[in-house]
Amino acid sequence: MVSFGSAGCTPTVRVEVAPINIYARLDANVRVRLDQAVQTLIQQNPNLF
Amino acid sequence: MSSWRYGKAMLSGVLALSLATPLAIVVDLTSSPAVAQTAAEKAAVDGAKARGLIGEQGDGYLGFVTPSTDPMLAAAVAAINAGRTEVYRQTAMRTGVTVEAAGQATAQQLFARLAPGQFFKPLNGDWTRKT
Repeated sequence: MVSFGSAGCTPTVRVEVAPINIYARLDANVRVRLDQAVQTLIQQNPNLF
Repeated sequence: MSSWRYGKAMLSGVLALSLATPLAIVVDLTSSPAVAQTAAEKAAVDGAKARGLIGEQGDGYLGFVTPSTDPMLAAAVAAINAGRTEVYRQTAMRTGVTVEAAGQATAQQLFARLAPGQFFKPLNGDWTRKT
């Protein structure tokens, strides 16, 4: 009696999750505050941006 | 049972000693990940950006327009992306949003700062050359 391992019978399913545009869905007030913080962030980190 | 008492005596002895000698604990609250990224890494990335090898992604990170064969460049990109994650985390905490949102918000401003000819990749799109 030959038994086969199940590994070879398992189909590979690649799930790609599309990135959600969280930024676009932010509350307007939050987005304004965030944009200001980001502007400062970019200016203060010239080695990163 | 005697060892238990011994342990207790040891503990109180240690406590007494630690209270008697002031311990100086230095906490660096000014740790900036930007310091970890060298100017050389930034220069390599800027050059690659200008040549169209890497570009800005909609999630706020650098990405390869075409697969890279340069391990130094790959390391520089990884280092800068790691630094960006850290500042996104700080910004997210400060503004009450997620790290992802901070990255996406930054991407919008970075797209605007790109020079014509450089590449960007919208969240749900492909690499696009800025005109």
